[in-house]
Amino acid sequence: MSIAFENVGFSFGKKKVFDGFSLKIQDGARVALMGESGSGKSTLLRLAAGLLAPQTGRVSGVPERVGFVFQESRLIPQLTALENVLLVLDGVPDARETAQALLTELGLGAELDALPASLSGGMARRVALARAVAYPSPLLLLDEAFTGLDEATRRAAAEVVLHRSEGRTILAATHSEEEAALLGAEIVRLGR
Amino acid sequence: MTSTISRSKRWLRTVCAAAVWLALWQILSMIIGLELLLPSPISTVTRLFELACTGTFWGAVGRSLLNILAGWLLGALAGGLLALATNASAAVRALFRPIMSVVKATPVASFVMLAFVWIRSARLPTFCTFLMVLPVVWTNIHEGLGSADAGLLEMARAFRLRRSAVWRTIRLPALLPHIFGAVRVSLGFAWKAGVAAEVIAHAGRSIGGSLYDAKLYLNTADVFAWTAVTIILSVLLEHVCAALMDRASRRLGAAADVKEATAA
Repeated sequence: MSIAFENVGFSFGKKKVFDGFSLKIQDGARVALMGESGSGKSTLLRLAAGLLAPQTGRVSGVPERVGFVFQESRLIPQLTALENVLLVLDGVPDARETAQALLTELGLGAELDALPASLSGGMARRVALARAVAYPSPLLLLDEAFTGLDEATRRAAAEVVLHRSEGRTILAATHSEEEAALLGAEIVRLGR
Repeated sequence: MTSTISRSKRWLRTVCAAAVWLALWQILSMIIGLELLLPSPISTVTRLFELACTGTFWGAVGRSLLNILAGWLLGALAGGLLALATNASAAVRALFRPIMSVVKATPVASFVMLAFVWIRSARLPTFCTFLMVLPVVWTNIHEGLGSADAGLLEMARAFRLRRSAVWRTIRLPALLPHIFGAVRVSLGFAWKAGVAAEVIAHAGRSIGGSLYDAKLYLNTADVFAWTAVTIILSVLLEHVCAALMDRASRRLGAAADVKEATAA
């Protein structure tokens, strides 16, 4: 089932973010949302995740489970990198193996037992990526997911994400056309 | 090694400061030369030891501990439950906020006078301690419940984490420092309010009651000795409580620095 934004309107107080916005995303499609800061990219991702409800119009086809990389890493500080990933895999078979493999593929094999405070910004980002990718869901939402990674790491991480998310719909908010290209995503530009 | 040295230095400094104040007290007492007005530290300590050798003394200490800890426990429990209710509902919050402000601002003496009409004087210290502790615990826990990191809570919603997991990993670590703060502050309050209530209510064989009797018979050395008992017990309770909280925080993995670590 495709995700559809139909005439969606949304404001934060008096600040209008969307007015009559429509977009249809086919199952398994990869879409990169681009636009300047404040154009509503993150809001759109939250609407797609069901974290926000549209004030007018409707959003349909939002799956029950959604993997989300937020703009900030949002890791639980007292849990290790591995535990942060395992936290969202409650009841998933072979959760530990999956989480370990994914973190290792993302170059964090030596940091499995590290606490977020001891990780660099880029490492924390990759733990957040692993958490979202490992989460069994048909939709993956990436909000500036590769920010803070150097070019080589970014490429490698994008490859892991694509490899591990075959058949999944990916909706990414980004400022970088290169990042959109790495994901092989169709670009949708949002205006203010 | 360095921390041991600095700890022993700090300890030495504390002992020196205490010695200076004790010496000043002794000199002042000698200048006045009237034990009735200002007993010397030596006579206070002597009297304290004399009292400690009697069964009455331990009975009074036990009675006060019971009075105050019962009031503190009831106040902490009620404050915690009320905080859960006011955090869950804006209407309950609106209803209780002004009451809590009034209770917080009312002096112990007023409560004792009012409560005299309704309650037996033996129960007064417990009741007053309860009233003093309730708003302190409520304020801290209410704030703590609202202090969980909004970003982490949104992450938990996105990944549909179980309620128990959200409490264990996000809400409780944010709440623990507030609980510890509430316990520490309210224990100090409880002790002062409880003893004050015992004095005003003439609560028989208790620390406050003994203080009242000592004052009544112009036994100033006894007043000082009982005051010393109050201070010693308060400090002891605070230390025991701090040690217990430290152990609990280590076991529960308390993260007072939730926000800092998340930002990192």
